Amino acid sequence: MSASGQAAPADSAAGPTIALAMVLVIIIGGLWSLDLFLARTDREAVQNQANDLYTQGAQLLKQGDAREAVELLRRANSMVRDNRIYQLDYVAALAAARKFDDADANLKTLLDSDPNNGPANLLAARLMVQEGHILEAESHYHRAIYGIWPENAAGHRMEVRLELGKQLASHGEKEELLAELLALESEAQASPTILKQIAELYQVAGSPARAANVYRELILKNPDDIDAYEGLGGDELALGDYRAALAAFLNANRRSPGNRTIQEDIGLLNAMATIDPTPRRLSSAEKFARSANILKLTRDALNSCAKTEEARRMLDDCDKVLAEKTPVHVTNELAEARLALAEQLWQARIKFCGPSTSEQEHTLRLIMTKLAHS
Amino acid sequence: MELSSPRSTLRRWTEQLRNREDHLTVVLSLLIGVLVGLVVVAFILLTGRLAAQMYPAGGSAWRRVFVPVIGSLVTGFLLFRYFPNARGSGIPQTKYAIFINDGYISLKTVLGKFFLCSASLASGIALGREGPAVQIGAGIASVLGRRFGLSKQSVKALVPVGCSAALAAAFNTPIAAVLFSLEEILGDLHAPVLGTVVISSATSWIVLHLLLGDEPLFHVPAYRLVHPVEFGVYAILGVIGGLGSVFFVKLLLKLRILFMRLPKSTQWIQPVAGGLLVGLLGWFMPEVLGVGYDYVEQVLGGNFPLKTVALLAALKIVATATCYSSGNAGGIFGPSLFIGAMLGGAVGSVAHWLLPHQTAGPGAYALIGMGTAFAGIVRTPLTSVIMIFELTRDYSIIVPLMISNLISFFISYRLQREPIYEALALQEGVYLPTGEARRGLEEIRVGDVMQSSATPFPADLSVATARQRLQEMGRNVWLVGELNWLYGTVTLQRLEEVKNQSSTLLNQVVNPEDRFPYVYPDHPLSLALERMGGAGTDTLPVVSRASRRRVQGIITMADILRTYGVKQEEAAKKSI
Repeated sequence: MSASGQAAPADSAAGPTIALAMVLVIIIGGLWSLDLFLARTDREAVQNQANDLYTQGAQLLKQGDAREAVELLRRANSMVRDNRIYQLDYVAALAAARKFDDADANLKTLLDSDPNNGPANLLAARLMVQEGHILEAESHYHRAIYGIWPENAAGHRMEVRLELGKQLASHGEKEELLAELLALESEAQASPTILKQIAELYQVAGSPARAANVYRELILKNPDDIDAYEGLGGDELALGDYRAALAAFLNANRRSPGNRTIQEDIGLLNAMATIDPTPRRLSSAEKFARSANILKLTRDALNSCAKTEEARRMLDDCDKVLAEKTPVHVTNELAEARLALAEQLWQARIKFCGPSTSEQEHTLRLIMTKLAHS
Repeated sequence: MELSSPRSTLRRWTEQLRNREDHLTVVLSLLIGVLVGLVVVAFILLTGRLAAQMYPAGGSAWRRVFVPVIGSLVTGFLLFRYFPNARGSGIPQTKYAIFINDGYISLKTVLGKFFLCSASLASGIALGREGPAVQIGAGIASVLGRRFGLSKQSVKALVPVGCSAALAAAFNTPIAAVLFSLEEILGDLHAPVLGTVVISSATSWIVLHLLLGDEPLFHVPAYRLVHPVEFGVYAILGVIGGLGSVFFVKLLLKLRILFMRLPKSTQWIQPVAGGLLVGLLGWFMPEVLGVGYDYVEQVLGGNFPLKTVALLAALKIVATATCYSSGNAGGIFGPSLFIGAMLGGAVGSVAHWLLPHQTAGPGAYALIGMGTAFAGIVRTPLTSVIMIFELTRDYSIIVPLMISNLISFFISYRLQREPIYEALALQEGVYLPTGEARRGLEEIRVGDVMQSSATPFPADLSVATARQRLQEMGRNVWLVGELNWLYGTVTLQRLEEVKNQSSTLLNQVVNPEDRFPYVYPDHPLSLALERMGGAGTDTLPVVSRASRRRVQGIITMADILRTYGVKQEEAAKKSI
């Protein structure tokens, strides 16, 4: 490199000539062609390399090796920057590797450039769920539902809404869940699998009647759908219609005779049928006997866990009632009085010991729920 | 009306263009933008393809040692034997062309730079492609200007046009390219070539986009300022970036002196020293090889371990300084961004570890770090801010970037007075005017030098008296009117023309509607000199910005010469 190494030559006298212009046009054309060729070759080579990296990375991600997948997907993503699939899987890998900051930042960039991208919003929602930001997640789920999907938009939207429903269910957001389920049911030209999930979620949302309707719809479509009969039985049980519930379980049992779960449900219903004091067909004496039995069961339930003075007093009062001799002419009022006391004891049991969850109290629990609703 | 053939129309049009050099320059700026854009795109793609061939995916580690050695050996020999002016970065060589060689860069140098740099960079030499692209662009502009028969002055004016086109395409930064051409290449942000520089930059950028699409050089996640305490961290980053820049520049200059002291006969093999070093470092850390933009992007994404980035910053400083000083072909733009990103990443990692809730991820600091190193090494603070903004298209980083860059620039300026390109030129025995030096002179204003006690001739003064007074004062022009109502100026020559009409008054000679030369107190001295030259006078009225009829003083040729340290007698002798 020498400053003085180049002597400035005398000016060329040649002005702009047509020949010179032609030469320049040819040079520009040649360079343009060369650049196009090089760019295409480069793009192909880079695309192939990125594709290989992506395939390996996606495979690792499926196998659960998120850390290795992150590196491969990052490289694929930096080579081909406009490939949404690469970008989304890279973010998914980052989230799976618990690199939430990086995942957030990459996803933000992606959403900034394409805010209506359905898959990206779904990914963002899942990331928010993982980070415990349920409100933001809900917002991204909705954007995903109303966003743009490259293919099968209706199917994806339904799946996203269902996923949102499950999230709401797990967080006890019953009202929001019900709203989503209503929307989902109205849109759904759904498969039986999705309809069953909708029905289950209806039950979580505290609407067994709607759940039962969905199961009935399923049974209409396929009268041999054992799951639908089982679900319907469960919902009728929750609604307190034991007869309908038993009918549904018996239908299920007829189609799947060896199914132990169904048989247990039938057993439960039979047990309930023997202690349920509410059927109208019962005689006053029978009703009184069942009410006394319920009162005894609730007393035992309270006695098994509550040790407070107040509970003790309630138990003493109950014992006095139970110790009373059965009158010769029992009336429905006497039975109702025992049931009222049983309800008080059950409420006290919930108050002092928390909600009942034990298997032994299952039958009693159902009866008491029914009494509370009646 | 006679119909002319397309051929004759074209000939007439070219003839008209030739006669109007300013029009031709504008047309050439467009042409240069297209041509340089195409050449730089080819340069980038060719280098990338060559590198892919030299380092195939899954290739063995020995390649990382042997390819740079062989690459530097072959290119070193060819540079020594056939293309001596294609060595190094290309920025100092472009400045030589402007300030020493009337804008002359040979086609041979352009071709040598293109092919040898491409081979050298593809082989893994730790230098950048942007400096060489600038020289290639400047060379194309120079060749075209000469082929089109432009004057030396116009060819010289086309060189920055080529530079800006090249940088716009090489970095995908059209605004920074314009600024760099003015701030660094010309050292004057108000240079009159601004228009043509903008045209070529924009044209080249369009070509780049048509061919390669709209992608910034680096994709970075969106960062934001998390907490005001981050300004403090960015300031610390500015200090570290500045110190790192100074260390890099001093190391490079020292190593270069060492290599220059070696016998001239070894010059052809000297680049191998750079190739061998980078090869050995690359054996252990492949990220050191080449310009390393892939790894920079990874760091900008916040994906790196602290130890690695700190080590890479140190290794890249040594590798780039050695590669450059040993005479390989390649620039220092790219490496300065790499070094800055690593320094920033290291600072960001520590800050994020200490203050996880008050600081952004380390990637944000890597981003700002790029700017600090660029500002500290290349010493173009404005260009560095705009360049990083354009490279990343992230507006939220602008304020931290400005803070860090200015601190880095200041530290670099304090600890290493000579900017790198001027220092490199000085090692060659060439003194290039720096922007700073020029600014120093421009900082002296008319108001600093003017005499504020001038009394104009009254407008009713007779011509004869005025002529006599002017002769007594030894001046060839004076003011006419009052201090608050300047009528105009009258020259001795004009008074000589009317000397026979001795009863004539000045207001009959001087028309207040006539334009007269003047300056404002805030004008630079150079402008006063220019206007004196243009009017052929030795004195100018200094008037108020509020009204050019309000006199604030006068400035004379003697005042200006005295300020520049020239005695008037000496100046007079020289002019004789």
